Amino acid sequence: MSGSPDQLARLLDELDRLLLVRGPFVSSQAAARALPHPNLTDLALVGPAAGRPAVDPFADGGERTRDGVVLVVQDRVELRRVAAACRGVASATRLGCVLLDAEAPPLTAGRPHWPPVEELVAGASPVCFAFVRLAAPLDLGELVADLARRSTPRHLMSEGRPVLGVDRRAPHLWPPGDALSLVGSPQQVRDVAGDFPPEVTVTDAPAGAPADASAGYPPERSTDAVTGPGAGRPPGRSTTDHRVVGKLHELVIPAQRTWRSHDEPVPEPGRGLAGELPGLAVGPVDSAVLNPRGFLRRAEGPVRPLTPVPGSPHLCRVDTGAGEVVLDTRRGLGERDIPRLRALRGLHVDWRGGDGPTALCRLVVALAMTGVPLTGDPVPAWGRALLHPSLVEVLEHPASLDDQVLREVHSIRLRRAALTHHDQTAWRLRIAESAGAGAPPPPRVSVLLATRRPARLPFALRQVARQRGVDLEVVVATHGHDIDRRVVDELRDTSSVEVTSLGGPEDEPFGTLLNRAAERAGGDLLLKMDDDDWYGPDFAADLLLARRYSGADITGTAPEFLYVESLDLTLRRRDATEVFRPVVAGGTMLLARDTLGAVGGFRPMRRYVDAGLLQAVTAAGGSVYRSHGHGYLLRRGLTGHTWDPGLGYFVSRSRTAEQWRGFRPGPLLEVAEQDRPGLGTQVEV
Amino acid sequence: MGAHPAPDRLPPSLSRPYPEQPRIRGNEWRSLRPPMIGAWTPTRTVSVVIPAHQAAATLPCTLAALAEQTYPAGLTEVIVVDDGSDPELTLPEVRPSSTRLLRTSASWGRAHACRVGAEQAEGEVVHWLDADMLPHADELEAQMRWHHLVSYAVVLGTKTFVDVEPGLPGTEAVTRAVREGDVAALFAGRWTAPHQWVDEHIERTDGLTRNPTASYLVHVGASASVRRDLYLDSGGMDDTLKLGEDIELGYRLAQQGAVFVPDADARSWHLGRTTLMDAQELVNEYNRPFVTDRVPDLRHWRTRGRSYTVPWVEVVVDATGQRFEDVRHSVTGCLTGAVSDVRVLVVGPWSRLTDARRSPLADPDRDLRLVHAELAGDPRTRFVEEVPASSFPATYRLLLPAGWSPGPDTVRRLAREMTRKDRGLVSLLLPDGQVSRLERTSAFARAARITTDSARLEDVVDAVSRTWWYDGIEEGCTHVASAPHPVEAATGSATGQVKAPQRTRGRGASQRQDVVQAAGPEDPAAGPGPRRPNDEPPPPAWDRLRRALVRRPGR
Repeated sequence: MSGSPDQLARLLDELDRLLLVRGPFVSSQAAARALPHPNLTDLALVGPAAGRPAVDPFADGGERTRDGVVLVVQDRVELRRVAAACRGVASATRLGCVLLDAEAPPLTAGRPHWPPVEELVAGASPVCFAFVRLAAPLDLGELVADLARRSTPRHLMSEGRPVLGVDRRAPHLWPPGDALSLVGSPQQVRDVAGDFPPEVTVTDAPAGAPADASAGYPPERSTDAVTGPGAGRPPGRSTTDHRVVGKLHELVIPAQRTWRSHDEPVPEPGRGLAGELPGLAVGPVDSAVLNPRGFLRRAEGPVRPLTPVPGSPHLCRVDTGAGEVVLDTRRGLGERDIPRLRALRGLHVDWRGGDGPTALCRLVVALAMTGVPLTGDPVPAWGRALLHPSLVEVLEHPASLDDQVLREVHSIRLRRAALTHHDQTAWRLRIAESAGAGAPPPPRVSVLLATRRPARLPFALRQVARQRGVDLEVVVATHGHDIDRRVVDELRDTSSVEVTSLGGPEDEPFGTLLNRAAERAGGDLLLKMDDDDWYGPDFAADLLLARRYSGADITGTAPEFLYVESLDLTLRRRDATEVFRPVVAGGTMLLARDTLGAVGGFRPMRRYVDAGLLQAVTAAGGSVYRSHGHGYLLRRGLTGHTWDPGLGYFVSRSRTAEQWRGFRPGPLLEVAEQDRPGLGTQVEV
Repeated sequence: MGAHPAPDRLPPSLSRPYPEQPRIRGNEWRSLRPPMIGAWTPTRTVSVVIPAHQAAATLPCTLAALAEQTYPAGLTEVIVVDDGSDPELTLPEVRPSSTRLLRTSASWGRAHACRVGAEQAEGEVVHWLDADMLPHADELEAQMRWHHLVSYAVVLGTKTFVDVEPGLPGTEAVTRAVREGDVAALFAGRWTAPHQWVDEHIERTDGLTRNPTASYLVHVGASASVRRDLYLDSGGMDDTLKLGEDIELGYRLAQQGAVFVPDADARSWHLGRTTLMDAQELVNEYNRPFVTDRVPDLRHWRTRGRSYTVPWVEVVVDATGQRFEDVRHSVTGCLTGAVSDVRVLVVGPWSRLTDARRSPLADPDRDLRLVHAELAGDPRTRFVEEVPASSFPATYRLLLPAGWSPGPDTVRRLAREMTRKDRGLVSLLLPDGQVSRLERTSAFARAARITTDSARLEDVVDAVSRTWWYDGIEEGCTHVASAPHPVEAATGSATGQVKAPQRTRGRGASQRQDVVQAAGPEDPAAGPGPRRPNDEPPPPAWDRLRRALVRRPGR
């Protein structure tokens, strides 16, 4: 696929008629500006006339091969958000998608069940676009779902269960990256007659719902008055029987509230609102796009404030020093906003501005998810009602943003809280819990831990046992020695981690031993850990998060932090992090068991098995993502390393970013006293 | 002097050891928390040393103001050193009771007068004050606060110039004004001016914290104080200098680990206008050869290819038990590199080399003898039997294992980086496991003032400065085995091209081999050709900075 400015004009010229489908955050003027056409019909995906064109523009029954349907959205965030809403809107042989403010064009390669593709064009100028001409008409929703799916490396785009039914008029609740759930009119989402109804319907509470009219919000602006499908129903949950799904759960979330102007005193809501429900009002924030990828360690200038734009209550602005970034809180954080905010040392939130408490909180969540180091005034009561307590805690934690390491640590804590509790996966889980619907269990992780050094094992198992927030088991493969049962028993006594062990003779290739260990693993995911490195207690949880937002086949971290034992020196290397790169540290690789199987397992080599696996997955078209390096500290001892470039390599000017004398683990490692070098484990080497 | 009663002497036993010293990083004197003036109890003694030449008119004002100090008189002595005044100075009636008058005879000049005064001083702290200065009542107290907190402070007072052509105030007026804290009233309506370049420099460097290794540049002694032991360790005022002596002393104090504290509350008036600009230029021109010869840190004043009294880097190579070729490689590399103002100490049992009859070829000291023969004719080498404790007053010391040589530009580049980034120690890891160390004299001296535990010395260096490791090969080091001897290589010069550090992405031995081979070809510019600055051109701010070398105006 290739494209140029002329090509977009040519593609439009070839159309007799154009049906322009607008995403919820694109105005008709902006769409028409991007796609000028004399015979244009404008269709909004959201609004009173949403759903289907009032008049089918193609209903005259004439020759339809020169008709086109084009979706116009702002960026990948909105593209992924409309995946379900575009289903069944219109069909044509010429389909297109335009991203008005995106980094790269959307891509498709067609799908096997589509009509044959006759032409495929994509480009980034004057706007990012993809056009496809097919031998027979195809539903726009098919194309949009494929474009959305291919905007991340993940092969299958699924958010799992429960399947949701969401009100078409509440786009902030549309589940991103989900072409299965139903986005439709109130009648459609509560259509219990169909064979494939949603398991949970999610709607906004209406304006002036009696249950919380006294909650202290100022009256809504008339333009915000939404007569949602929950009209007449107070926020809460209910259940009806259904012949196919058994129970049909219905959730009514307190509606989006606004403040009339920024001069009004901030209300103190939260009283009278039902339990979990206010937090759900923030909606799913799409971590597939709004994530830490591209985080910059180097920051310049002071901490900048997020300020309201006078006269435009829904807008906030940031003066980055390199230019102004205006954020529309109705739309939320966009794909292109992230790189513009990356160089900021920090962003201060004083809880003013935005289109209402929910919209402002949604923006703050998105900023936290991308890792923009946020500082803030104390979170107001309405913020506490909407945001997860762990995020509130980090937001109110006094952070030192002048030090590069501490700034990144603060960013990691923010993104960890926001991703864990507010991204689309977390939101769906909370929806399921609130509605009482079942949800699939979290993935189980099997740690593969191979060791040649019996004395190292207690230390290594402590690194595994301290992992929190993850369902974990460990498979210990002892290489050239038998496992000390007492060590295993001690782990069983002191933690809930299940241990499986196997031994292999000294001459068994390391790769073969690891494959045997993987066969014994019961988890869906495998995590290879090393026996002499330090791991922070959130190491595995952070890798799982990185896997979730990156969609990579292997997630790991770079050996960014090293402890060089013989020099008694802790150092940080310049390795890029929060990027797709084909190399990660061998003791940090997280991958699906299926992925390992697909490349035939570890190669039966004596050394370099980690590099061998990374090569194999990359060669198979897989992707490798490097998360942050703050939860992992590589120990460089005097002996026992299969790869030895000489110590000079580790202190090299070109590779070292920072050095600290002595053992100086970062704050996220939370190294236990007994695991410090020179104590306990070190002397056993 | 005989007409005056015998001056009080300081109580003899007030000097006591300092408690655990604070670890001040760089010149971050703000990490100290001095007490508010008037809200603390001083215990340390001070000797105010006043060099005086033809100062009969102003000295009474100075002494009258000193008699009104808030700092306890029992902890203060004043030493006036008459530097050849004609007629000889006498002490005025109004003066601190502990005032003594000395006269110089052996030499002359401000430096000599200060030196004589300090030699006679008994206080724990020496406070310089010129005989045309009028300190505020709390000037001594302000300065002395810092010496109660830290043993290695050099406190710099703040002064204001005032025109005295309308006449000097009388002693009684001075006494009254100082006592009432309203000295400015004495000079109402007169022309006054701040000590502009000093104040500007202090402001520009955020109170001397921003460029810590150059803080001594504002050591203009007219109202400064320093612990006497630190002063003595530095060697004291160089009385062969008739101008520029305070900046030169400042350099040596810095090399002894001093932290320079500019105290805006330690205020004095300077009785007289500042000299005209053209005179300053003349003074500056006069100073330059003297200071350049003694202060190696002023890189842009030194000329590449030349050597000076005080080298910038002192290299220590231990030849004991080493092969001749190894020592030669190390020493030759240092003597032919981009840093020419270098001195090489070759350590060995040289006293063993007697003229007793021996078989030259079977001599067990053959290597030692060859090393001596090879290097004895180079004036930049010294033969010593033991490694000296410090390379003071050289700015840097390089400890180099025999057999290894820095690259042509390695030392210059690393030392400049250490100055810029305030690093106290850079260790170069060599592939055979040996380590070459580049130490900054000032950082090690401060660390030694803080701890006597030699095992923890480098920890303290790391705390007051920074320590850092590099890959020796990447930084340009070569081993004798992989580098042909310059003579054998027939290039005529061992000085290779000035290379930036190798930024190689590869790994392993083959990569490093490339680096080794990369150093070699001759650099025609490094020879004894044209005189040119030793380093890059001076920074734009230099014009103002160099006025640090101008003698205090008015003398």
